Amino acid sequence: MSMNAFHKRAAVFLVALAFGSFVKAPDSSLYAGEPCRPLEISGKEEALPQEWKVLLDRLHTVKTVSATFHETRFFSLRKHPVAIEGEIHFSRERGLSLLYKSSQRQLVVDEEGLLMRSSAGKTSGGKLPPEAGRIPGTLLSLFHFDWDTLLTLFHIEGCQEPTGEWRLLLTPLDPETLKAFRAIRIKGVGEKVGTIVLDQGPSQRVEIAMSEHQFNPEFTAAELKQYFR
Amino acid sequence: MKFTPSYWFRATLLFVLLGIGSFWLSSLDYSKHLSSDVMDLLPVTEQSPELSTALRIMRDRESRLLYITLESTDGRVPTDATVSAFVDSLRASKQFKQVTVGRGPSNPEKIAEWVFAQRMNLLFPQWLADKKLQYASLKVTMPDVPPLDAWLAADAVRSINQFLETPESLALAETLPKDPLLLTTSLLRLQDTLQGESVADANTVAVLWAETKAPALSPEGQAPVFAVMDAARLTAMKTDSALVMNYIGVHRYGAESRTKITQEITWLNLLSLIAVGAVACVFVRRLTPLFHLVAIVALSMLGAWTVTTLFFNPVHVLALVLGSLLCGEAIDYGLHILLHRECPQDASYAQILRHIGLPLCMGASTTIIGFLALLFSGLPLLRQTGVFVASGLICALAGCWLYFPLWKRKTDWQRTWSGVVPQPRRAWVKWFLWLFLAGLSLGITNVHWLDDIRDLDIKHPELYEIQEKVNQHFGASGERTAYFSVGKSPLEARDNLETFQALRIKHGLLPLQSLDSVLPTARAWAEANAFRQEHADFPALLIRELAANDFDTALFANFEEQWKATATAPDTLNLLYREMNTQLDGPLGNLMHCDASGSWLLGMTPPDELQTLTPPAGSFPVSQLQTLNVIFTRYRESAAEISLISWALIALLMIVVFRWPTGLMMAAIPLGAILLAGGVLGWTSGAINLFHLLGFFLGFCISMDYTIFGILARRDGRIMPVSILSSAITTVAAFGVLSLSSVAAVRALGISASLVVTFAVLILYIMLPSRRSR
Repeated sequence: MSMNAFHKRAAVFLVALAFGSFVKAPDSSLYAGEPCRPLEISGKEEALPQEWKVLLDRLHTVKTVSATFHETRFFSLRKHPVAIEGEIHFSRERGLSLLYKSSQRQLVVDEEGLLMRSSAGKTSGGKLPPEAGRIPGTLLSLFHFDWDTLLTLFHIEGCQEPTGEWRLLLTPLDPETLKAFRAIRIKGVGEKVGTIVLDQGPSQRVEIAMSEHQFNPEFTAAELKQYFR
Repeated sequence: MKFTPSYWFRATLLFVLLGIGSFWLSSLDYSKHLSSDVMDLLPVTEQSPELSTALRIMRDRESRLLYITLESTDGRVPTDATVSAFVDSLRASKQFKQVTVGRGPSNPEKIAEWVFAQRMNLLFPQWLADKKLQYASLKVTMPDVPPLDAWLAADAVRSINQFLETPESLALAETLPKDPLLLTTSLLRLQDTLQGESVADANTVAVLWAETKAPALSPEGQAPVFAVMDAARLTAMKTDSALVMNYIGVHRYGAESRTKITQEITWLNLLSLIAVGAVACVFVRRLTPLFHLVAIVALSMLGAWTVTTLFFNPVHVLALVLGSLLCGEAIDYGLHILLHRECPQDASYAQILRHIGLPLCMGASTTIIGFLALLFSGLPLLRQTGVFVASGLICALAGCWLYFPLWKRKTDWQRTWSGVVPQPRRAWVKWFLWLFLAGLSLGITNVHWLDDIRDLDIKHPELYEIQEKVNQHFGASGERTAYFSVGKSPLEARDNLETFQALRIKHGLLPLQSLDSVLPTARAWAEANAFRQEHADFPALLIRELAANDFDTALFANFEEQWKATATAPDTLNLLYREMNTQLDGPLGNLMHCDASGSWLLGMTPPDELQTLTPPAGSFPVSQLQTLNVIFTRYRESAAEISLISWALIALLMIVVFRWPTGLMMAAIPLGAILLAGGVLGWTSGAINLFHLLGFFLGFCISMDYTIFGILARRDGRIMPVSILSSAITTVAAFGVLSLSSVAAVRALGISASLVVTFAVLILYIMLPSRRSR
C-alpha cells in the first residue's frame, strides 16, 4: 500500500473543509445596485439582442488580460472594510490568477481546479470537490464570459449606455450557487471590465475594482509559470 | 509369501493408519485450513511493535480499501451519470461497507462539525504551545513585551486582521466570531505542509474508494468482490462504452498471491515427483519396485499432511512447497531397502530391515531431529515445514517397516550401476580433488549476510503497474518515508510521535507531516486547560482588543463561554482520539488507528528528504524492507543457534552410537559439505540469508543419512553403495526442483541444500576405496 498519498488526500479534505463546510447562505436582501433600465437577457447567446451579441463578441476577443485590482471586503464583524491590492492575470487557455500583494498569496483558478500559492512558492489545492462551493468556478466563467454556463447558474439582467458602458446583474438560480453569492454585479466599458461586486449577503460583500488593463499581452514562459499552474 | 500373524498385524495396522489419515484429510475445509496470507508466515504473538503493527494493519479496516479510478479511453472525464451508475451498482451488491466518490472521507461535513465543536480540546493546546514559543523568543528581543495574556489577545486580533486579507477569509469569515483564535484555520496548516507538492489531477479521471465488508485476504473479500467490480463496470459502460476501470487494494495482491502460490505448489510437487521417479528409474527396472517406491512416498505424504494439519491451523502453503522436498527424502528409505546387496539373494525384506535397521534408523533420526529442531524457531513457516518433513520421514520409515514385509522380495529389478560410475583410483587424482575442494571452500570468505523480506515476496509486475497508475490519481508523488508511532493507548502513540518530532527538529529536519496539529499530546492538553483556568479574564482582554480594532464585539460574546468550558476528565483526550479514529474513514483513515490492541499514528517526511534519521523507540519506518529485514536477521540468528545446537547433538549421538572417531567423522563430513556449499555461494553471489542457512541445515541432516551408510561401507572396505548414490541423486533432484521456484526464498533453500548433499556425497566418494584398491 502506498503511504505517499495520505497527506494529499488530507489536503483535499481540508480544502473541502475550508471552502465547503463552513460556508452558510447569507440571509439579507439583495444588494441594491444601480442598473440602467434593466433588461432581462437570460437567453441563449444566439438569441440575445444585437447589441449584447456585439458586446459578447468583443469580450470574447480578449484572449489574455493583465490588470491591477483594488479589492474592498465588507465584513459584518468589522465596522470598516478591508482593502487589498493586487494583480490579476487572465488567459483563456490557462485560467485566472489573482495575486494578493499584502498577504503575498496567489490564487489560481483553472479547469483543473483551485491552486493556492504562498510567497515561498508553496502550493496546495487540486480538483475541488462538489462541496467546495461555486466561487472559483463562477469567477472563471465570468472572466470567460461563458454565457451558456452563466445562464445555467444565474438569472441575468443588464443594460448598456450609449457611452459604451454596460452593467450586468446576476442572480443565482439554485440554492447551491446562492450559498456562494446573493448576487454578482459587473460593470464595464467595451471589453474592459471595471468593477465586479460579489454580494454574499448582508454580512459580506466584495468589490473588485480593476484598472491599468493590458489586453492580449503575450505572456512569456516565465510569466506563465509565475501566474498560472 | 507366508501369511503369518506378523503379516496380518502389519497389514491391519497399515490400513488402519491409512484410514485414519484419509478420513482426517477428507474432513478438512481446505479453504480455511490452508493459508496463502504472507502475514501467516509471521508469528501471531510477535512482540516487536513493527511486526505487530504490520499484522494489525493487514487485518484491520485499512487493508479493506479498494482505490478505484474511472476514465474514458477518449480522454473525457466520465459523466456524473456514469459514475453514479458504477457507485450504485457497487452499493447494491452488499459487498461493500462504504463507497465514496473522491479521496476524502465519506462524511466530511460531520467531521468538520465535530472538529469545530471540539476545537478548544483538539486545536487550542497546539495553538497555545506555538504562541508560547513565539512569546518566549519575542521576550528575548523585546524585554518590555506585555504580559502573555495581553500579548495573546493583541496577537489574536492581529491574526484576524491578516486573515481577513487572505483569499480563504471569504469562505471562513462567518466562523470568526465563534473562533476568534482562528483555531480551525490551523487545519490548513496540514495543507501547508504539502509544500512543493502538486496534487493536481488530470481532469479526466474520476477517483473513488470503497471499503469491503470481508477482509481483504479472505476468499470472500476477493473473487466475489472482483465479480461485483466487473459487474459495476459493465453497468457503467451502458452510459459510457469507452469507460476504463482501474482498481487496486490488498485484495488483488492477496488473490494474485493465492493463485500463483497454488500453481507453484502444484507444479513443484509434480516436477519433484517426476524428477525423483526418473532418478529411481535409472537405478531400478520394472514397474513393481517403482510402485513400491511410490507407495512409500505416498504414505509419507499422507502422514505429513495429516500430522501437520492436525497441529497447525492454518497451514501456510509455502510450508507445503518447502515440504515438497519430502518426496526426495522419503524415497531414500525405499531405495536403501530395494537396492540393498549385502544380504543373500533369498533374504526377505524383514531380514534386510533387520540388517540395515541401525544405519537406516540413525540416518533417519538425524534428519528427523534436524527438522524437529525447527520447532524452536519463531517463524510459523519453519515450524510447519519442520513438522511436515519430520512427520513425513517418520511415516516413510514406519511405512517401510509395515509395507515391505508384506511383499515377496525379488532382486532381478536392480540395475548394476556401481561399476559404471568411475571412482578415483589413483592417489594424485584424489589429491587433486581434495585441493579443488579446498579451493572451493575458500569462497566462504566472500560470504556475507543479506536478509531481505522481499525473498518471501511473490512478484506481481502487472499489479505494480496498476498500483502506480491508480496512485498517481490518488496523489502519490515524490520520495517520502512514512513512519508509524505506536503505543498501547492513542496518547502513548502521540507521545512517541512527539519525541520523534523533537528529535527531527534537533537534527535540523522538518517535522513529519501528520495529524499531530489536530491531536494534542496529553501534556499540551493539560497545560492548555490549566492556562484557561488561570487566565479566566482572557476573553475580556480579547474583546477589549477587538473593540480597539474596529470589530463588532457583540458578535464575539459567546467566546467567554467557550473559554470557561474546560474538560478535565483524565480520559477525555483518549476518548477524543478514539472518536476521531471512528470518524476518519477511507484513505484518510490510514493516518491513525486506535483499538484495544494498540494505537498508531502515521507521519510522513517531506518529499525527497535526503537525510535519514533513525527514529527513537516507539516509532519506526512503515517500509517493511527496513524493519522486517531487521526482524528477519533476528530469526536468522535464532536459526543459526538451532543449527549449531542440533549439529552438536547429532555429533554427540553419532559418537555415542558409532564410537570415536567414526562418529565424529560422520558428523564432520556434512559440516565440510556445508563449508563447500558456502564456498560455492561465496564464489558466485556471495549473499546468503535465512533460507540459505535453512538449506544448509536441511542438507546437513539429510547428508548424515548418506554419511552413516558411507562410513560404515568404508569401515567394511566396501565401495560406495549404490543405494547412497541413488538416494543422494533423488534428494538433489527434489531440492533442485525447488531451485526453479519463483520465490527467492524457496530457490535459496533448494540451491543450498542440494549443494550440501552433492558435496557430502562427493567427499564420501573420494574417501571410499575404489574397486581396484579393495
